[in-house]
Amino acid sequence: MATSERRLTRRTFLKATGFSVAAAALSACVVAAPTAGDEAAPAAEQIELDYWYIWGGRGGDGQVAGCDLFTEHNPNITMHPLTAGAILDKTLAAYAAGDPPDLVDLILCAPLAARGALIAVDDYIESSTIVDLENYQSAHLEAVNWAGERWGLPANEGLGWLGLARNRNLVQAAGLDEDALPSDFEELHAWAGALEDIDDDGNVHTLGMDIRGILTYPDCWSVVMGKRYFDGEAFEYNFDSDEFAEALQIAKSFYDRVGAEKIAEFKAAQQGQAIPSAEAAGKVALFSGGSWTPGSLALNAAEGLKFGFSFVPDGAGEGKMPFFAGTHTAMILNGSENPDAAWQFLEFTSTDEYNRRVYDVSGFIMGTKSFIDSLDMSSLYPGLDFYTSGLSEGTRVWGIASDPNWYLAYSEFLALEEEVGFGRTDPGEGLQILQEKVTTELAKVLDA
Amino acid sequence: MTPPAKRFLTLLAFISPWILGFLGFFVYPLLLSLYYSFTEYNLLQPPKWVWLQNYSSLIEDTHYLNAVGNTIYFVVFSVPLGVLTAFLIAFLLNQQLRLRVLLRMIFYIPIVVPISATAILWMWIFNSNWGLLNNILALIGIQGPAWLGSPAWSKPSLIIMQLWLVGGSVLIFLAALQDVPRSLYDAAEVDGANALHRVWHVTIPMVTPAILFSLLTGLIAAFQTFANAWIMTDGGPVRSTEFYVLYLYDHGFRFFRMGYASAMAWILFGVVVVVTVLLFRTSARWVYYGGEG
Repeated sequence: MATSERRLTRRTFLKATGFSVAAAALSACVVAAPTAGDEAAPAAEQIELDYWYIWGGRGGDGQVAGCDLFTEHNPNITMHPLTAGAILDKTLAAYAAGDPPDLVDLILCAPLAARGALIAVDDYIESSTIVDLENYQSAHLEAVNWAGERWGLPANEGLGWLGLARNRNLVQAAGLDEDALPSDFEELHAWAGALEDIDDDGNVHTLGMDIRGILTYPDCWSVVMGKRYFDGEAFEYNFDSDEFAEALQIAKSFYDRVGAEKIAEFKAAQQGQAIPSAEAAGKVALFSGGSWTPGSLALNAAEGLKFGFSFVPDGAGEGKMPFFAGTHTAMILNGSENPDAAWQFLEFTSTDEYNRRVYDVSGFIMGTKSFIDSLDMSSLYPGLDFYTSGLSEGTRVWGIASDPNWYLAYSEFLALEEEVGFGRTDPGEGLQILQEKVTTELAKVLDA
Repeated sequence: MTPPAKRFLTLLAFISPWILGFLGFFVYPLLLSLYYSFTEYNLLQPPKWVWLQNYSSLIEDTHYLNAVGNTIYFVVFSVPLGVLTAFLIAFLLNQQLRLRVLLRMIFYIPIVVPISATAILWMWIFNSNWGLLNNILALIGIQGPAWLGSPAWSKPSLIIMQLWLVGGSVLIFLAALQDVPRSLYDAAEVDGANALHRVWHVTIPMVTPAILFSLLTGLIAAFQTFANAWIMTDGGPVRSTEFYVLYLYDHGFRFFRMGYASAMAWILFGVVVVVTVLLFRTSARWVYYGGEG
């Protein structure tokens, strides 16, 4: 049958596709015609900065608000803030792929700085009229050091990261005196014994003292025992010291109170949660926590529960008040196309105006001296003032070790503490193996 | 150009987006990871060639060998148990039950729940002090273990949780069961087979392709198990749930040892290939495809 219909053959389809692609390519090459505005006022160069950080939710909103404020002051710089979840692995992958963000917020600088991934900021700091290093807590500045240079600035959640939290309801019910808090680990054991509630079948209804939590960080045991696990000037680890063997023995003694499996299970129950649910439910009387703990408990704890915060006992027996001043740090990645603009943002994070905006939106407190002074302490979550005043009242206040193998050291020490707690490993032997492992990795870093 | 050549080029043009994606996002990274496995590479600095050092270090790494043992344990128990459970559930759902459609949906729901939510739910169930499981066991006079807190029970706990996620295999078995011809059951009945005989001699042989599929996909997934342990235990207690891929991830993306992690990945790849080939080779003896003589 004769027909005038045109059929879509394979040839015509390919032809049409080819023409379309060519047309699209050509149109992309066309130079846009200048507009009247272009002639009248040449636009300033627009700079785009990628900034990655770990927080989602309110924490992430705070970062976005801080970035918006920065752009209000610097209209030629557009910030692209991004919550990256597992921030380290994404940053490493992006860097390896040759497309790193301009700025990233991590806990410390040394792991990236030691491997050549960061831009040193000492020259920027020196010429800055905005950044005043004296305004930072000196312990917080430890987190930006590596090999005698600074690689970023403390930028978020820089406060105290170690306190002994107590469930005041349980403490008062047990008749313990809150004016005479435990000053050493023996007294802490006595308190734990008075507070714990275990039935005849071994079920733990109330755990007296949860030795896990933030205290597990090697940085925390460092300040508690008065011995740094890593010496950033001599590039040496001290895990094979008596102090760390004793720290593990102390931890084990708390495992032994209720049985290692129960302790491990409390840890499993809190896995991945900002504040352990057992603590918020009032099932743990004493536990270690950081500056995020008071706010999290205020928002999440069972109704009617009250919490108090104090210094963790001094394990060195010197009667000191140990305080771990943790922080997050913002840093500029090597490979940023606009390091000067990135520095401008870093500089801006040091201002009270930026920290106020972040605080108003997210509740994050940056422990610069002027910003702490500007806070209305009566408006803070109950107990948070301990973490602000601890920076000045603590008598042994240390920051994060400038350890290029910080992630490995933390993870392996945590696992070792558990192995010792279960009686599977001798503290001395385990620490010796850990010492060799991190020393080997350090040698690779220094060789490179 | 001859017509077959033209046809081939046309075909190539149509599938070229997939080919490009396959080469760029699969083959290239695969070969690159093989190269990295012979290097000291931290992702931030250029890789340094170290020959077989990563592979030889693995043999001496006791934590790596522990991860291998944990993974083998998980594979050996979770895969057969998963296939058996899926088959039994599908078998029951294939009967003339009331609310059959609703039940099928209920068994499938866990698959669409994000693994993080499922993990947190099971952390509560397994809690030995207040959890649902031990409370039920206590009702019948059994003192439950510490589950996730116990090195002896942590892996079985994760295996039990894995059984919660058999909904996908259940669907495949259901389809296979509904494909078994009625006439075969009738013939078996005429020959005097009782219900058990009919299941053993008719149903199971007819669903062996589905069993092979479930075994294969289950094995590959079990060798790569990661998310549940990462969320629920982070490898603990005492490294008892530190599975292969968890250990690999830590070294590659947390400890700056991508070369070492790549060596691990290639060993795992080799093992999975060998196991898959062995399973396929043996399948000729026990898998029956309809229509075969």
